[in-house]
Parts: sequence; C-alpha cells; structure tokens
Amino acid sequence: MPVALDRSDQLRLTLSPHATDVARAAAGDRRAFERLYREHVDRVFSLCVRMTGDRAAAGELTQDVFVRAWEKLALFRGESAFSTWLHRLAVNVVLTARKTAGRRGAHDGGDDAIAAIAARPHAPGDRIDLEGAIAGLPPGARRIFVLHDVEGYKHEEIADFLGITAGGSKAQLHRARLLLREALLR
Amino acid sequence: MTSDPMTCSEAADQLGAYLEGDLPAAARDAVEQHLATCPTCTALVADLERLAADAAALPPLPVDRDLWAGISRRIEAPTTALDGQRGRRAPRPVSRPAWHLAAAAAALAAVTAGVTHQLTLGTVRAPTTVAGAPVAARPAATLVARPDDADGQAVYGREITDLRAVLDRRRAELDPATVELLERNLELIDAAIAQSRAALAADPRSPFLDHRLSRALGTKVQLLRAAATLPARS
Repeated sequence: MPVALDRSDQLRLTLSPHATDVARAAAGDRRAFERLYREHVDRVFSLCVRMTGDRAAAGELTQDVFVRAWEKLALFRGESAFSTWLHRLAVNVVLTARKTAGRRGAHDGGDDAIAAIAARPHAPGDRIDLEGAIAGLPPGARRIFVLHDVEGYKHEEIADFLGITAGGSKAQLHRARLLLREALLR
Repeated sequence: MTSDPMTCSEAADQLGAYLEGDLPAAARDAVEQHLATCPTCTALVADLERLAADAAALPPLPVDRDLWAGISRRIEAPTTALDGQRGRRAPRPVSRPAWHLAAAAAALAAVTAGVTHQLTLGTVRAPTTVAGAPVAARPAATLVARPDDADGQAVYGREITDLRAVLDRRRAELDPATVELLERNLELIDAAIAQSRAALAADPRSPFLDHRLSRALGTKVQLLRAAATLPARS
C-alpha cells in the first residue's frame, strides 16, 4: 500500500526515471552521480563547445560543471527537472570562466576560430557547416546565439545570465544570425 | 496621401524586431507589404528563420573522451579547486553531510525530549546465517514503526503531513535562518529516505535497510516535531 506522503515528498519522489539517482547522488552516492554524468555529459559538453568555440577548453569546463554540480546537488530542490538545473549551472560555469579569463587577459578561443575560418582557403563547393559557422562568430554574438537559438533560453533569461538588457540580447542575436547567414552562403 | 513604399534598407533595419514579433501593427504591416514585393528580402527572412530552426535541431556533440576519471578524482579529493582558481589548489573540503547532518537533526529533536512517543513497537526480522539457521530475534531498540508495514508507513505519512502543516502555519513567526536550516536538513533526510526506499525495494529482506529506513523516517518525524514546538522569534 503506498505511503501517504506529503506534497514535498511526492515532488521529490517523482516518477522521473532518474529521480532515484538524483536523490542518491545528493546523499553522496558517487555511482549514482556517475550515471547522471553519463546521461548528461554530451549535452553539457555541447553547450561548453558551442559557447566557447574551443573543444579543448570545453572538456575542462565540462569537468568543472560536474564538480560544481556534485558540490551543489544537496541544494537541488527538485523544483525544476535535474537536466534544467544542470544546464543552468553549466551556463554559469562557462560565463564565470570567461570573466576570469578576461581578467587575466587570456585569449578567447573564439578569436582564434574567427581567424582560422578567415584564413581557410575556400575551394569551390567547400561549404562551412553550421557548427563551424557558430564557432567563427564573435564571442558575444556566439554566446547569445547559442543560448537563444540552440539552447532555447528566452531573451529575459539571457539578459539575466549576461547582465545585459533583453533588447541588447535581441540585437546581438539578429547580428549573429546575419553573420551566420553570410558565412554559410560563402 | 499614401506613404512611399518601404525600401530594402528600411526593411533590413526592422527585420530584427520583426522576427522577434516586437513591431507595432503598422510597422509590421509595412514590412510585410515590402516582403510581398521583394524576393531578396523575402529570401533573407526565410534564411534567418531556417537558421534558427536548424540551430534548435542541432544534436548534442559527443564528448571527445571520457571525463569521468578526472571528475571522480576531484570530487573524492579533500581539496577541490574551482571558482576561477583552476590550476591552483586551495584547501577547501568537499563535504557530503548526508548522514552527519541527519544525526545533527536528530540531536536537535532530542532537545525536546518528552515530546516523542512510540507509534508502534515491533521486532526486527531474524536474519539467517549463511547455513540457513535463524539467529534469535531481538526487539528493536527505538523502532518507531516498521517501514515495510503498511500501517506503519501510513502512520509515518500522517504524522509527517500533520507536522508539515503545523510548520507551514508557523513559518512566518519563526526565525528565517532556523527555517532555512530546517529545510536543508529535511532535504537531506528526504534524500536519505529515497535512497533507503530504493535500496529496500531491491532487497526487501534486509533488516539493515529496513532499520535504516525506519531511522530516517523517525528522524524526519522528530525534526518536524521539534520545529513545530520552536518558540516564535521575539
């Protein structure tokens, strides 16, 4: 006979296939956390690659994301899906790393990508694909394009992430789309 | 007097807002009138819309290599570097306080000794030896209710529901820091309860798991009971 649980218990014990793994990982079960890692790593890695334009850095950032998730998991209240929570955490880790790199004067991988694409010889029929074009965007435009068009965040959410206005986010998105179209038509 | 038709340059200036749906009706109509007669701008709009759709459909990129070993080392190490300090390790323990906080919660509940009451009494099922001969049964020390017993679970459930309602009614009069601490402890206990239930479901004959779940449920009840009797902040 099912136990008469209160609403908070019911919310935590939802019928998501991985609700138990989240609860177990929150209680310190590393095997459960590894299963969560394996389920979500590709999406986290994709976000890191596309936002930075740098696969090597994305690997490091992906590790940072999961380490941070392990530290914060006890505070996960189940008010959103675990994937949503993890994804937002990943965005914040990437943006924090960018700010830190900026303070150190580090080179943004996106600048390298732009230079690499510009220097690449164009043979007839040699078309850049969308992933390559995204990597070639200026960093600010790339971040907003990835967050909005690839990841589905609204402008108000992007504005919160980046400390800009929603109007600024819209303007940068339009610029990004025009640049991408130009790159894809070359 | 009719206005001049919109030029491509004017349409281009409006396209961003047009695609976002932010234009007022008159401006939107003007853009659409232009698009109806301009194949170049129409193609541009179609390209931009297709671009957005293609981006939304991009599949996840498979990770280049298995990153788990590195993550595992970092979460198991006593120090973890993050927060922009990558490459420089600062001493910072990674705490996993699931059980010791639950014990602290039990200690908090113990302050209100005299409030506890036994819900049911029962014995722990006799475990068998490897040879199959049962060992002597023993009474549970502080068993409140057997969690695999339907009546026992219902009792826990009703108690938790009632105490939650009391806490919710009293929330505004309690110290916010205390409420926050209580909620964090309850989250940890809930996680432990979920883990125990899952483990018990996989191994329902385990007296250890049975007792662990009972203990966790009992701790939750005691913590909620203690919270329900906290003095209001002055």
